[in-house]
Amino acid sequence: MTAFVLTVVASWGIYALLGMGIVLVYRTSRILNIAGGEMAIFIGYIVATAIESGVPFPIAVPVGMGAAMALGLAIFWFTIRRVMGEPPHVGLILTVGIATILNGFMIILFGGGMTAIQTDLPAFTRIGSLRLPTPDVVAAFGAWLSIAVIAIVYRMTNLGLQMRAVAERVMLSAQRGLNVDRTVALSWIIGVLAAGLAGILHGERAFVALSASVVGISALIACLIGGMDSLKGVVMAAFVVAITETITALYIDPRYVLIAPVTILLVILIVRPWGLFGTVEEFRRV
Amino acid sequence: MTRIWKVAAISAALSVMLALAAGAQEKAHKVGYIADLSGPMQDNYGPIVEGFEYYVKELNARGGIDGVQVRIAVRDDQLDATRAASMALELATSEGVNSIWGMSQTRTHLAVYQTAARNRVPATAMFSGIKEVLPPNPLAYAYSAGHVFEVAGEVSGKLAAKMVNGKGKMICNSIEAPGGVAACQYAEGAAAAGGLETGTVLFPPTVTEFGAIAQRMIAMKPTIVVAHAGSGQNVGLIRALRGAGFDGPILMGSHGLNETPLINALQGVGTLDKLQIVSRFASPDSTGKEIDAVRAAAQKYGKKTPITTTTIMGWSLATVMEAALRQCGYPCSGEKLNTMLENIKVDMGSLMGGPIQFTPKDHYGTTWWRVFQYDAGGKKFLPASEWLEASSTPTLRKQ
Repeated sequence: MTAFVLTVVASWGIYALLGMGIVLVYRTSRILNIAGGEMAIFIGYIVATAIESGVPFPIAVPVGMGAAMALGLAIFWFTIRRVMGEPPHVGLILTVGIATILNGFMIILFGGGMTAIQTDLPAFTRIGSLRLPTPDVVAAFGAWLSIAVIAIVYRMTNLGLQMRAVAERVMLSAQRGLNVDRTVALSWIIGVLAAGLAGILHGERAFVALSASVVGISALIACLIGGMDSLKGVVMAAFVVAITETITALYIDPRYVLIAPVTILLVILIVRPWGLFGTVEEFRRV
Repeated sequence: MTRIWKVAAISAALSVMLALAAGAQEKAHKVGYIADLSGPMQDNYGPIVEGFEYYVKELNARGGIDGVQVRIAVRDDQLDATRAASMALELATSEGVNSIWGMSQTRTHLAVYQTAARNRVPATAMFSGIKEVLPPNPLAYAYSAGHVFEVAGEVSGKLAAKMVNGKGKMICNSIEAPGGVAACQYAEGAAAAGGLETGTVLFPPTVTEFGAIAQRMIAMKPTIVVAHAGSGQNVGLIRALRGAGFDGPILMGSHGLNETPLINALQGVGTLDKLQIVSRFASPDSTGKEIDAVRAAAQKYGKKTPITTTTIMGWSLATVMEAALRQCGYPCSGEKLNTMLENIKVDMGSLMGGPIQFTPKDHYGTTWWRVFQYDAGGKKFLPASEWLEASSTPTLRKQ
């Protein structure tokens, strides 16, 4: 039972963290970022490579975080800001391109092979009579700590207030003197940082490989189930995805592990197209 | 001599020189090689091509085959069957190769085999192989010198039963793909014949989270786990199995495994002393004249990382190629080379447990397989069993 709970909590945390990054950028820029998985694994590769080169885990992680923030800024500066205000499909296609480019760079820079992120921690952590696998403990703890920090920044800081303002009333925010470009840039930086952290934790818990970017699909499903503009929704829906995957793999058949959450998504989209906690939006051509 | 005659004489001389140069250039065996060199499995296939190229460089440095050099035209299929087939066509027609070697994942094989056969050029796979090369009616022009999943599965089941003395339960796992499913069906059949209870856990190729899958396997109470998945999946699964408390033996099919990244990725996940690989190729830490030659060539041609089983696979495949071309003589057409391959027996020395032998009714041949045990102290896989002979007609499929 403990293993089951830990598996769910770790997967939930990673999907929620990656999903939060996707929701943050969607809220401010109205771009559905489907390159979240590639961003996550790209940063995972950076950290894994740094550790293989002798950099200790506690230093490699901040290096990866710095790289994620730089990547977020670069993506905003070179692509996103140029398509702000364009129809939604433009931004979507842009992220398809970003995913392809990141895949290419992962092959060129890191070989695209399989690796993992080593922490040098003992294989097991003992809590009382419980013997827990350390990679899962680190992943669960790291993910939920990151989620808490992002939530605090978003809810309790001036920066978060600005991001929420842009998310809700972009025109009004601009009229009140808010630097919309800067705020959107910050949301991309935080969004890619969240993805990068999720990639690091996934690599520490499982492995880093080109194929591992599939983790982004689970996060995207969580975003769509929860509602693309709802942080609360994505965290709750990430739980639905994680527990569905775990129960399917454990008690039904692992072959259906990817089908089960997608089936739930389809049902939700039919019943509530904007997701469980999403805002009903109306697009009007003007 | 008038000006027009001068021009004619110069033109004639130039023509003769060009013809001679072309003739000299043409005196080479041109072979094709297809692999995934920039796609998702480049990590597995890249070193195989390297091994193949090292061998050919050494061969050419020795003067080639009876004075004829071997030229390789390498193509990257990025694991795409359509792309692989069009490359096979281009190699067989525009490039004019007399054979195709290597190939990537099994999903590309049938397309390449059929294209090659239509153009009367033999194609020989390495690493993974499909059952269409097995007796009694193998596809024309199609050969495999690597791991055919049906055979690998049966061998792994037999070895698993032997490793736990026919007592307990074997759980096989693999991806939900024809090769993986077949490997586990034969592993289960062979393990059951060896006295074990059996079970299989299959998962989609794209799965990356193995916690629940490992728990499911542990709930089935395995004595031994047999893994026929890819490198990344093996890493995820082994980490999850050890994390969930399974300390029993794990036997991995060496389907293109690169030992060094595998070992690096598995550090710190608990006990690895019961981690084994089953392979028909020698491990890079084995000894022998041929293995030493692979190491020396790798060093000579600037390989910065240690050689892996995949490097040995490429070298082995090129050994077969040289033997076939030598028998074929020069010039060697695809048709003639195919006849040679259908009647070939190549001594592989320390590279493998026995010769590679094809016949008109068997394009795979008898194979020899060995268990390699992880040595935590040396961080390498060392031989842990004798070579086990396996027929190319596996029979122990679980129904």
